[in-house]
Amino acid sequence: MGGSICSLSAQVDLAQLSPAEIIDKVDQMLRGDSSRGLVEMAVVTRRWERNVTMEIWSEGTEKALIKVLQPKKEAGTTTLKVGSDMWNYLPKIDRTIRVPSSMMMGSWMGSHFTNDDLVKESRLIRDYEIEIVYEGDREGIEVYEFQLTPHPDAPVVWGKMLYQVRKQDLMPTWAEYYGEDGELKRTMTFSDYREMSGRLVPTKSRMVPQDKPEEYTEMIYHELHFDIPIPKGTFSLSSLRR
Amino acid sequence: MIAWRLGWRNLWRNSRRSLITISAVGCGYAILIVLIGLTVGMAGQMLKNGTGLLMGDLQLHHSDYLPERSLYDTIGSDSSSELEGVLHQLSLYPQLAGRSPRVYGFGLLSTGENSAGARLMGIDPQVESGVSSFLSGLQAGALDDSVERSLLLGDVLARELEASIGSQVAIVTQAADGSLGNDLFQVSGILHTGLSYLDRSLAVLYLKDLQELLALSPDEVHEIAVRIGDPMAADAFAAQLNASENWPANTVAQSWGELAPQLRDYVGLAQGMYGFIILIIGLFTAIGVLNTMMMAVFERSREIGLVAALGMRPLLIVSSILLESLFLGILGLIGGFGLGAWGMSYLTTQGLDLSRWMGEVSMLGTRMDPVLKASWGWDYVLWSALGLLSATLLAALFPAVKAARLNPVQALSAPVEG
Amino acid sequence: MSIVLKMAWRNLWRKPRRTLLTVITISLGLALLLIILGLGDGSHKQMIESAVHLGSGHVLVQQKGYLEKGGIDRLLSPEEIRGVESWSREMKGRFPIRHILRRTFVSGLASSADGSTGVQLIGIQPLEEMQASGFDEKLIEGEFLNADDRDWVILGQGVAHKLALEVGEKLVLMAQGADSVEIRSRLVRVRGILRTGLEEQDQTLALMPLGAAQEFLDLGTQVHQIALLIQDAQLSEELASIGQENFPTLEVLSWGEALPQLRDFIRLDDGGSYVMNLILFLLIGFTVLNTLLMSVLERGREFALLHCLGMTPGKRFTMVLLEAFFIAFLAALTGFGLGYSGHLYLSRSGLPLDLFYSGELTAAGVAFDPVMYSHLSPARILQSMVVVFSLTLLLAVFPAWRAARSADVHSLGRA
Repeated sequence: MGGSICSLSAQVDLAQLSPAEIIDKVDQMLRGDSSRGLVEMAVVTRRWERNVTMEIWSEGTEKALIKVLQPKKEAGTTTLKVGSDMWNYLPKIDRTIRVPSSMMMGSWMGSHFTNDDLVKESRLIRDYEIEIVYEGDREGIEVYEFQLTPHPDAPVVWGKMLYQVRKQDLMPTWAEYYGEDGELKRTMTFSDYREMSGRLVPTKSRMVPQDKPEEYTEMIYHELHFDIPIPKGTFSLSSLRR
Repeated sequence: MIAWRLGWRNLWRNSRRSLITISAVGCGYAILIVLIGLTVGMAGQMLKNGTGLLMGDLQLHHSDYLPERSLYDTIGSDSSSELEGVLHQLSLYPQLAGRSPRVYGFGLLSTGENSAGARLMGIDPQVESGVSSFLSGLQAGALDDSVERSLLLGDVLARELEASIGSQVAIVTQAADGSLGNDLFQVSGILHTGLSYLDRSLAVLYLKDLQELLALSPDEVHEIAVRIGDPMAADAFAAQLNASENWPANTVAQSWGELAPQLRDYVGLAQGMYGFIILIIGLFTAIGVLNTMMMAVFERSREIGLVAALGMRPLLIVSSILLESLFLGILGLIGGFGLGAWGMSYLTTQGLDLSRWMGEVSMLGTRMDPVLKASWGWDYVLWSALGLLSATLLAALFPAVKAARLNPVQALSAPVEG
Repeated sequence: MSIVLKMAWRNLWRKPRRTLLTVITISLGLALLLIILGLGDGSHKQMIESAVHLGSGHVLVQQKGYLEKGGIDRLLSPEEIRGVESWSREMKGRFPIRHILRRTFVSGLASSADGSTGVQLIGIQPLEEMQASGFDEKLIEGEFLNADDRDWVILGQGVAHKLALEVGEKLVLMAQGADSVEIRSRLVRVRGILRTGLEEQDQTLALMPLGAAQEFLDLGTQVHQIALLIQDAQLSEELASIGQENFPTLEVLSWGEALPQLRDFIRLDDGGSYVMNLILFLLIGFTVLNTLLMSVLERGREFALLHCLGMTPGKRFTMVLLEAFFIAFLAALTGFGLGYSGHLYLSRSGLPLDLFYSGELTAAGVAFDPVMYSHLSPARILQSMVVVFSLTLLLAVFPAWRAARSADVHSLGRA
């Protein structure tokens, strides 16, 4: 029942949503007031391949706690983000280390995401001008293509972003990140759309850097629960050890 | 034949004057020898400082390693026997004086309250001191194999972390398998190199410990530093290695000159400038000798006039004077050489202590030794000898010719000397 | 006495060739000394000015402890700034203070679409810095900053390269502000790219207008440093110590304290040239001794004759000494003339060092100028002339004494 009403209301809403509102919905799609999820991350680089399974808790955009479950060697490694600060707990040495701003641009857990990607609370609608540049059929599916141009003062490095979203259910299919020089720098693709906790979400997303196309980082959500109560004190340094 | 005998005997007819002239040549030569020795010594020392602290005379890397210094471009990454092969190849050369494998990384060091980024360097301390001298900067302690995961910190870094001997330091780094390498280390020594960029960022550990931290195999290293007998032969040696048959294709040897062209430039600059000054001083010495010689010959116009009047041919006159000055020159050079050698024997062993002027001076990323030691620059010593000898001969030529052409009557009636 | 004087003078010109040779030799020595000293002093001056003008100063005023530990929170308050600046203006009467500059420093992160790198962000007063320091001369692309450029920066060449940025393109700066742990970010664009020749600086330098930096980092009107640039580097220490007395709660440093590596390098270089000069003196001295001795020995008959004519040993001694005096005097003049003209040429056109090396050279944190200019202070010139002059006189004593002693009448009969 929830499903059909959802899709019905989605159809009705569509016509009344502005491009910005659509993008905001997409942006917030994996977030909620709070969430808990089970994610598998696969990273493939020229040199090695890795598979990491993690549990992620989040509260709004300010707080997040990520705990590694697999592989065994890294199980228990936990990352805490509160605001723009980040800490790592390393079980092997039983230490909590604050990640200084100089390491922020280092990749997070060896992936193609940076520490900064995780930490920043950017909201696309806050930093970008959004407009539809294409509306129609691509490969048999009705889609919107949005162009996101950063506001003159917005502290984002991208020159522009292109987002393709399915008309029917507002699911993103891909996002392209461009530098100011117009060159494509990285591409994110979305797939495996499933319902999780009452919402339709893409459970698989893959980030591919343009200069090394044989490499990628893929995130697969095995579980995702939204707006669930999270015990107080979860997002604190003491909880890192648990 | 007569000219030779005449020349020689004329020398001793006025022994005082001759001795003065000889000493002019001699002292000038001695001073030049010492000056050349100091300059060559200084250049050599600069080189030793530049290569001796950390770099070594040559370095071996994977061909892709420089300039990015990627964690993954190791010697041994392509095949597990490669490291062994390279080390074996090196040992075949007699000029090898030492070789030291090294692993590098970059990580975050943390002691409870404080954390700081650091360069990680994994070494084998036993062979490392055969190649470089930075370990002699250990202020306290040392890498200790009785301690598990022993660590050395630069003194400024240690202060920043508020760590001392016995402190536990956590090191976190991006490992080669993509995971976050992390482990606890114990500080067992504090290092002071005098170079701020090292003292504030260097953390030294055992090779095998760093390999483990970085998830590298024990057959993988980033660099092999090599020391040979004569740094000046490094270029040739590197070329020889790279061209040799059994040398692995993806390993490249580079000399200090290729690795630090700045050092080569600076040595060149210093040599050039001092060489310039030496040239000027050499000219100056030659002029002094000229002066002395010319005076000596001019003073003897009367005598020359007399022998001319007695029938001596001009050619004979000129050649006997020239030969006389040749003898003077040679005697002077011999004496000067003796004096210079005596000076050098002191300067090559004790050297000049300039520590009054220097605190800890660094140049081009190396520390300067306050004691300047001389070393023999045989090429230059030889050239100076030839130069001075020619100056002596030239000096005598002009007045000799002039004197020989004098009308004997005029010469004889020349006024009283003085 | 006047007879002796006249005789001494005329003696010189009875053997003009010998006299001239001696004078020339000594004066060449003096000239060489002046040139070596000039180049040495000149190159040091250049190095000092170069270092001082790129983000440092002859005298620096900072919060106590800043030199050693840095830290964004070690600031000079508005009152302290006012106090220091008015004191500096007062001092202009006694010291040739040319510029008073305010600066802020913070390390942060710069990122572009192509990567990120650590930077040292310096907040400067663009107009004043352009007049005072050498930053704008080092621009290789683009233009320098204007005071009201809130969102523009100048990057070191290494930074621009790592971030693959060109003039006009954007980057995001991230740094921690004062009094807070929060990381701030700001979008800025590249106004220009500069190259100092010092790799460390070029790989981390980012310049921003002071107002924009203060706003970005929430510093209000506070700064980390006030730098004084003066005309004559040698007065730095004096000015700094007066400043320290006036502001005991702050640290007032001379360039030597702020850049100890440079100070030590100059000392070392001076040490080396000290050795060189010593050797030069040895040579000059030896030549003088040699020449004078030789001439005295040749004049044995003359002295014997004079002795017979009644000239006392004392007077003969004086005469030879006076001859040396005249020679020294002439040599000093010509030496000065030669040396000074050499210096003049080298102070205008300079000595091009790229005869000796290619590329760029750095030492003690300063890039070597490709052309070396000579610099001679009147003190140096006077020093050198006095030394050569007195050396000559001193060395004339032995020959003069010989002249006084030798009165071998028998030599009169010899040919």
